[in-house]
Amino acid sequence: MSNAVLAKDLAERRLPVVALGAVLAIFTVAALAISAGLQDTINDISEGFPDALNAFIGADVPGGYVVAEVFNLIAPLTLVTYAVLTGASAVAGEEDTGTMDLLAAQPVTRRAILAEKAGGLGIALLASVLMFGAAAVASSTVFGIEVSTAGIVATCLHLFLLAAAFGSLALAIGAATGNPNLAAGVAGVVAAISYVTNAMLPMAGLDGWARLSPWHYYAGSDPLLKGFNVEHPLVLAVLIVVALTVAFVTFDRRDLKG
Amino acid sequence: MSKPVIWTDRLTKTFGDVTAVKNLNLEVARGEVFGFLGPNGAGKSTTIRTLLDQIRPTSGRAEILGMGCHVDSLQIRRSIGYVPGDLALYPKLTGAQTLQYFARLRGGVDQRYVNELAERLGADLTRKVGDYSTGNRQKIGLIQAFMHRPDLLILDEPNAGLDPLVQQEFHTMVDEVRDDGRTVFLSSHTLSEVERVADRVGIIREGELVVVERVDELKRKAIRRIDFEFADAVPSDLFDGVPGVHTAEVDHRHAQVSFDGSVNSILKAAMTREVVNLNSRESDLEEVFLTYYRTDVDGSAAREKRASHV
Repeated sequence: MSNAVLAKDLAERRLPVVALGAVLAIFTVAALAISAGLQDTINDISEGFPDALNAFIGADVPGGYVVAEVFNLIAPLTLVTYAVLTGASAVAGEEDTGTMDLLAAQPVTRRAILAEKAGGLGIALLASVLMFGAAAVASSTVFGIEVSTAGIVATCLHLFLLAAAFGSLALAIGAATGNPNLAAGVAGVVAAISYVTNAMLPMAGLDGWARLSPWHYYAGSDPLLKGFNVEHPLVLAVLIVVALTVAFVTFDRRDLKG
Repeated sequence: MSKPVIWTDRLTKTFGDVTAVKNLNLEVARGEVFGFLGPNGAGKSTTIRTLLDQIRPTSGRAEILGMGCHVDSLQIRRSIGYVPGDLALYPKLTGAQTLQYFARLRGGVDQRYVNELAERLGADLTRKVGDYSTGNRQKIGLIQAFMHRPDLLILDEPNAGLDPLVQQEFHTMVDEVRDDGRTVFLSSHTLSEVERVADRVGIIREGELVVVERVDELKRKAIRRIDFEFADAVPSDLFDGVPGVHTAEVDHRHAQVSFDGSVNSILKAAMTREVVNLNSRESDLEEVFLTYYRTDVDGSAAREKRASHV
């Protein structure tokens, strides 16, 4: 196997991934810097809020509201969005633009194409998460935020798996249908709805139902505070395996678009 | 005798209610240039994409180089060069990067031959594909198909956007492949594109193979047209009873004659008058089709077909 598809994908993703990682890193440094300066003020404000609201906005994490914004909102939403868009276009995008016609006529199996596309997505997500994690560790040390390095590393692992799960879902829908817009749309809607249900259902006392959301397995075990969790990443890993299995089976069997 | 390079047995492909290809039996021999003709939407690309295992037949079988098109697809694709009908490349890559990419997918090719092909076609490899003209993009497609000297070239409408000089070079390249004992499967919707290079043609219409014929035989049967301009008005029955004439429309000083076979008798009839000018039109595929509709299908179908194309 030549891995030419993977090499080409990575070359194309280098710039967007570096840009994405850089933006996340700058955001993180800025947010943690602000948080360090305003920690007391913000804590005073959020202490006046009801517990449920604090849970929703994440003000109960170490470092308070601003740090929570970075870890619970900005980083995961950005990475999940990137994963969904990239996953959706990985296979189906080549069909949509017509380049799959020539690619599939080369001596490379459909499985190999899909495997290299999935690998390219995984490596891009990993690189983005690493840049984000490095910025978070560096700035929490510099600004003296009470977030442990182990907590950040654990959160980054959860974050990578969360983004990879939604990316795999989008990849699978694209691989099964050849329609990148449908793949991005469905995976995006699933991500948005499951984000909202994960945030809202616990407030309504429906914690059990929130477990259906992949987002629950990102922050539900509080990795920033409690470090590694075995079960929750495993759930996300199973989701990834299921989605990729569907992708391989369906992509191998159907007619390619052209 | 060696196995045919392309062989299909009652190959059929339906998309929902639409039958794109129906009971197609095709046999292309080694060392042959085979023209696959049909109007757009007749099932040419569907047939080709089935041969390449991009789509799976509803029923029937297909073999290339004696191997099953699905089970041995990887092995088959090692021996094939392909230009898609609607060629799409990666707009951000340069021509050279595009060719490198496809060379890597093939596990490497002879770079000197790539350069030679680029030079012969006058392809610009330095700019990004997105900035290319259709013609230059098509040249990259052709180089990519020829560069590993495949046993079989499957070219779907390869002439799109090529200027006449480049077309000529392309025809030379096809001739060389044939002289090499290799095979070319050339699809097109215009006869003029394939008649110079093809040994035989198959005509596909609405998913069915209407006829397979040697090109010289087909040309002989084809209906051609000739327009006359006379110095003075001519009688409307000037071409009546002239052998080979199908229709003759005479209007004052002008006449349009469609005919098959030799042009000699028509010229003789016309030259009983003062001919100012004459214009012979190349027989196009539509007229070749009509020939076959007349012989294979009943007359009403032929007339309907013609009416719908006016």
